[in-house]
Amino acid sequence: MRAVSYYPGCSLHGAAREYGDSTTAVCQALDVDLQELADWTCCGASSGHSLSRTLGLALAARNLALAEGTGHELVAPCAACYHRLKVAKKESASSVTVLHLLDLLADDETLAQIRESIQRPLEGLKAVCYYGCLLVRPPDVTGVADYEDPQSMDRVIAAIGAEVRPWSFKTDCCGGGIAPARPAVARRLSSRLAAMAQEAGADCIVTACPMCQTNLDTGQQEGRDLPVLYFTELLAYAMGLEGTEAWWSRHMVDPAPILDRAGIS
Amino acid sequence: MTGNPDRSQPPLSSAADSVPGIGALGASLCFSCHKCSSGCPVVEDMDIAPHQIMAMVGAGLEGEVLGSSAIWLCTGCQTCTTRCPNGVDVASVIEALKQQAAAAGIRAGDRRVAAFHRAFLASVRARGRVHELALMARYAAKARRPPEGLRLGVKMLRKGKLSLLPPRKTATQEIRQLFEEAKGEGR
Repeated sequence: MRAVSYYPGCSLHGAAREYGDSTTAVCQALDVDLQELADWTCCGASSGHSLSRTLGLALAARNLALAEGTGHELVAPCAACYHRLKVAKKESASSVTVLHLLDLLADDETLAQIRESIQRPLEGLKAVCYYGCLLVRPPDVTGVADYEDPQSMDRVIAAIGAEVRPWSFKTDCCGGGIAPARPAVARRLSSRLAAMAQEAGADCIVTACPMCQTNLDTGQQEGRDLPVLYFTELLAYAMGLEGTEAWWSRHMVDPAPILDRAGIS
Repeated sequence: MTGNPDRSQPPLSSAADSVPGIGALGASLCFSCHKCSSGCPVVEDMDIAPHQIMAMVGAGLEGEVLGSSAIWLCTGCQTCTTRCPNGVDVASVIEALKQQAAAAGIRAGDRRVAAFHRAFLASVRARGRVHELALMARYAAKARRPPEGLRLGVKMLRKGKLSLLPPRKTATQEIRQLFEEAKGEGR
């Protein structure tokens, strides 16, 4: 069993609880021991560093210091938290290794493990993988080499039997960061992404970021109805894990109909 | 394509040094190729485009852009920084301008975005972790948010996405100390 420190961040305990719950379920099934950092606090994304350089770094660095004490790698599933932790690491020369959850699950060994644990292969499901901004950019912070055409999520989604559709919008901004304050601007960006995903032949958009998921799920034009799922939700569903019904009920666009059609039909 | 030039060397000119630390981000190396603006997802909503901001900061005129709406509309997507052929950290220059405007108490060119950030930090300060429902209430009070935003809040509440109960208070003493240390910034 691989033990790692786990930084859920505020969203995974709140609006993105289904991302947190599916992360926990998938990791448990894959023998990854997620040890939640005791007394973790908000990383400050994206308001801390917008208003104060000192506070922006300090809020994230406090969590790095907690993780240092554990001696484990630090895993963050939220792209925004991951990004702030990486920035703080770069600025503070912390010894902690910061990983996004995809870094942990998309290596060959884990992918083989995922393939072996599939109960409901998602054959017939067409998906586009949407990475957004902060998982990949800027590369001198994230260390991601394929930042214009990332592959880690594609590999995970292909491993559970879905058809990953090629598209050119994997890392285009959805506007999630300014959605609460400037909803019209965010909706212009998110509705374009949803339209492009449909043009690419996708039945759903798969994400790894709570801001992207919320923004894309709520920001579509009436009638487009493209489900937006966390990659961990699809993993858990394919692996036959418990809890998926409760997660679907928290989505604006219900993913159940497209999943019912996939694989088992 | 390298896309990621060496930024370990200080920029040649330091006209932008009048904003502390901003000179190191390289705006004075900008030769106005417009690549940052071409790839910017929100350029059409901005009053000054990113390449114009870089030109002004590079010329030491950052005071002129502190009141712009553009700096607050920037989503921080990092596309400009990633693609700049001269290694200018465009997104960080814009971020430094926001910090500078906030510290100087300059009326934000987009008051809704600035109000959201302030409401967010008030939420962090109160509990160490963000309580989204309280954040939205704080923001609505600060910004007199348009009904559209409120409708979304109601939709999310109905879906059970916004927890009624706040998270437990975590390390609030320590967090308050961090806010104290940053005092003078970001009010």
